[in-house]
Amino acid sequence: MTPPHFKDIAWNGIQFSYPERWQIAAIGDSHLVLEGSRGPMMEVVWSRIRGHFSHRTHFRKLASHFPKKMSASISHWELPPDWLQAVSRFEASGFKWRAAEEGGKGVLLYCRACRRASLVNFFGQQPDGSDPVALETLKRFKDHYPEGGQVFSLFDMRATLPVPFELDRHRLDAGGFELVFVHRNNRLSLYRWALAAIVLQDSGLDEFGRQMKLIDPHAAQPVVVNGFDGVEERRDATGVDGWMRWMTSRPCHYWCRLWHVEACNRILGAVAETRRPMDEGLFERICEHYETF
Amino acid sequence: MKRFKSRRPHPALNRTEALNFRPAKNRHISEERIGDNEVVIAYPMTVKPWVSALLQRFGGRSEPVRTKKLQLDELGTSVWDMVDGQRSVREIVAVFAATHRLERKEAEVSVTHFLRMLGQRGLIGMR
Repeated sequence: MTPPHFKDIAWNGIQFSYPERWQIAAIGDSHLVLEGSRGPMMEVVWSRIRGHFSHRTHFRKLASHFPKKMSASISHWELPPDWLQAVSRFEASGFKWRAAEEGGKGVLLYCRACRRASLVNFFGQQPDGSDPVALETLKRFKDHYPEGGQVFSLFDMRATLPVPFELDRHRLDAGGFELVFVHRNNRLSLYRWALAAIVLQDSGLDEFGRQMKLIDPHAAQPVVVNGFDGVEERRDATGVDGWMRWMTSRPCHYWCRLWHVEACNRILGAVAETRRPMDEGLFERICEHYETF
Repeated sequence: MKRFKSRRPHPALNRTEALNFRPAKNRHISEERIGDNEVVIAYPMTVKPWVSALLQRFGGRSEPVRTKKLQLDELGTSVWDMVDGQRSVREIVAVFAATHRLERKEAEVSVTHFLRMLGQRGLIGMR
């Protein structure tokens, strides 16, 4: 359960809670920066480990993301007992750093179960050396999903996807988010648009889908997704086009759904482009577990 | 040799300081409402002397100051209406996020980008 005044974030394999007053400042495929009102507060870098794990080597690799002035001053820090208890699920080693006007401390975590190493860096220090926020964040830090299905939860969207799909690219612009996942030659895209009331002021969802180049209004069918009105289009490449796509390993089957979550003023969309016909139950489950709040 | 002295760099603002600024409208602009939700802003633009000379040479008009117009959409107008010299950028972002049920960060990025654009055109200044 998320503690009060904390928010959950789950992104490309890792998951933790952070104070509500912090905001996401930067997102990369395996890099996250959270900032407060005075500047950056927390940074996480993670990576899958192939072969033997060495704290020293992988620390150096992951710390290469940090600015030079900071990485030059990094030194070993013996983790206090409360930190060790918070990260007891991992192999952990601590570090601290001091640049011109700021300093911080952090921990390198390695999970034997999923072979992922994560470098968690906290900016700033409390005068008495304690840091309840860092402790709370580390207590809730996860780097794999034992329940099955991977979770993506950030800003106001949350999706649970089957494990084999991996994040290929993402676009998080003001007003429009797009997450694209791939598994072999299959592609799954999740969309989320804000300001639905204004976007749909003069047109319907099918017309909006046409503008986004996702749906042909003539082929769109009304559908109800998670209790919300939406439209969907399914098409299969046939004939020469289908044969060409099959031969060039491109998706032959297209399934797109857009639905309007009026209470949140959002439009959500899911698009599956697959080589073989998409499993209906799987697509239904993906749409069912894709929500905005 | 004073002219070769390097300029002192502007002090960098942090996010908190930037959000505390209060945008105010330029007094030399005029507004015209189109319906309830849109506004057209007319603002003076000084023509560069060499452009003016070039225009004069080719028989065009060569006023040193020209009036340009900018039409804002519904969202732009909602932010424009909040620019009164009293509200800070932070307050405008909060109202914009609440009105349109946007994420705070998302609202902050869009509003600050829009205000920057207005500032570059000289339509607003910051206090």
